[in-house]
Amino acid sequence: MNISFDLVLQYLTSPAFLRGAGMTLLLTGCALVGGIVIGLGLALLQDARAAALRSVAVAYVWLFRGTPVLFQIIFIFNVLPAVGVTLSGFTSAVVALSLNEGAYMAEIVRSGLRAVRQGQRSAGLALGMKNAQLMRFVVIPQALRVVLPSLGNQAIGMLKLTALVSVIAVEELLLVANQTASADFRYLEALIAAGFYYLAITTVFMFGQSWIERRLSTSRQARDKRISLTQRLLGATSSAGAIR
Amino acid sequence: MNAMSETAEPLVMTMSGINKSFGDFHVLKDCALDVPAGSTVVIAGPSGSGKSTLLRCVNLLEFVDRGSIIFEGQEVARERKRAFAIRRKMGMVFQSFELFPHLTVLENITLGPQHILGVDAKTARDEALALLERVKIPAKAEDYPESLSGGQQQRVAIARALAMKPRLMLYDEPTSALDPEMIKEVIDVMAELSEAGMTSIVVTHEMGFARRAADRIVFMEDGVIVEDAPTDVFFSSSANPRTRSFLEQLVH
Ligand SMILES: Nc1ncnc2c1ncn2[C@@H]1O[C@H](COP(=O)(O)OP(=O)(O)OP(=O)(O)O)[C@@H](O)[C@H]1O
Ligand SMILES: [Mg+2]
Repeated sequence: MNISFDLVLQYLTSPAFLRGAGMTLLLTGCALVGGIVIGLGLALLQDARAAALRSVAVAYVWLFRGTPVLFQIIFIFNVLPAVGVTLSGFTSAVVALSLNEGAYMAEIVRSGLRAVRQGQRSAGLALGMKNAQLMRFVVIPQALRVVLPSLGNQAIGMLKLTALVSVIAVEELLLVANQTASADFRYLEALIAAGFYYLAITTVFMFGQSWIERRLSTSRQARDKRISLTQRLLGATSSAGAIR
Repeated sequence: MNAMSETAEPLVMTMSGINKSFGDFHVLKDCALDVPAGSTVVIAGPSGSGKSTLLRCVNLLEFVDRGSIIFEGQEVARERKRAFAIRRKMGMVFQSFELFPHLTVLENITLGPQHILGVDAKTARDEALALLERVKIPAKAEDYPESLSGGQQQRVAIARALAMKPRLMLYDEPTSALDPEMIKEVIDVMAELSEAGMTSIVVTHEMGFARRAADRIVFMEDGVIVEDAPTDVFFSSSANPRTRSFLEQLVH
């Protein structure tokens, strides 16, 4: 088998691959935001006083962690129309990925909220903050610092999960590569081009995360410390939260 | 003389018939306290006697079960909805400082005025820098709290509270988390504020501060205010056996 580097380059710069990579990024971003919102809601439910609300959260997590993401994607795209809810491929993809992500995000959000000590809340309230101000100025900034490494892992995980929605014909990177490959009979070049994009985006995420972590750090020592790329890669590919 | 001048001043805060329970546990029992404008009241008493709870009830971090709290002429004891607005007029200083670790010293102080009271950034900053002068740490404005000593952190916490221009300052054991050599620097700042007329309630066992700055000393035990006396009376001729044994322990 001979490989044509010219063709790889041609794929890399083709509008189809660029659009595919853009779609992958868009899906990742939307699903992460959706996941965080759902996770926040679930976290609040999980710590709710009413037992009924807590059970709702438990049932949700059980459902979405207990079934494959691929199942959830296909279910939402193919079964919901039967009950009168017809969503486009893109919308189905974002909804399914968000719903799934929320089940994992809930735990991360909770760990962040728990890390903000009660005394900090008292201090904010004593200054005369309303609840929303307390969240915005005291709780969220501190919780965010705690969960940032986990969020980075989730972002990279989500990037890879988006490849699954090629099964419902969303024109993301993997589908584009697959279609191009079967049209030209050049699997090697098309998949190398797609793999290159995935690796490039993952790498940018990792550096971005490390940059944000250093920016948000309050100590000089931590701001100067760098976590090596290998460390990040190993941490990010093993179970979630390996980088602490 | 003390009692005369006190009655002449209007009361910033007066509470009476205060009762508070946590579940079955009756923490505050019929407490009453007057705080005239410009005065400093020290509250002392053994651990668990309800001193912190009393302070937290004053600024509505806890709500009383029964009783009245009149702050600046208004009944506030049951103002759950407006509690945030009332708290803006009181400053609170905690034993464990509770500076916001993600903000610089300057941002800790300007946060309240700028984002809660809506003061413009320039004014908030200028006032914060002036307050840092006043608590004697002008050079640390851009540092993060974790790089400061405990004594410095507590003085920043005092500045943060003062930035809201409170009518009443509440201190809950402000020096008990500090190493002995740092206690004085915090007490000096508090005493200077009291001498300048800042109305204050101070929960502390630092009797040096009490002698120097307090107009009255209140002694609490098991949720009851056992004694409430002018400072000189409290130290020289308190007839209360509880107070006497407490003072002896402190001297020891
Ligand atoms: N939120 C709460 N829930 C239940 N019990 C509480 C709560 N807050 C305080 N208590 C109890 O009320 C009692 C009085 O507490 P408080 O903190 O007011 O005492 P204190 O005089 O400030 O003591 P210390 O000198 O140890 O600070 C203690 O026995 C404490 O355990
Ligand atoms: Mg206490």
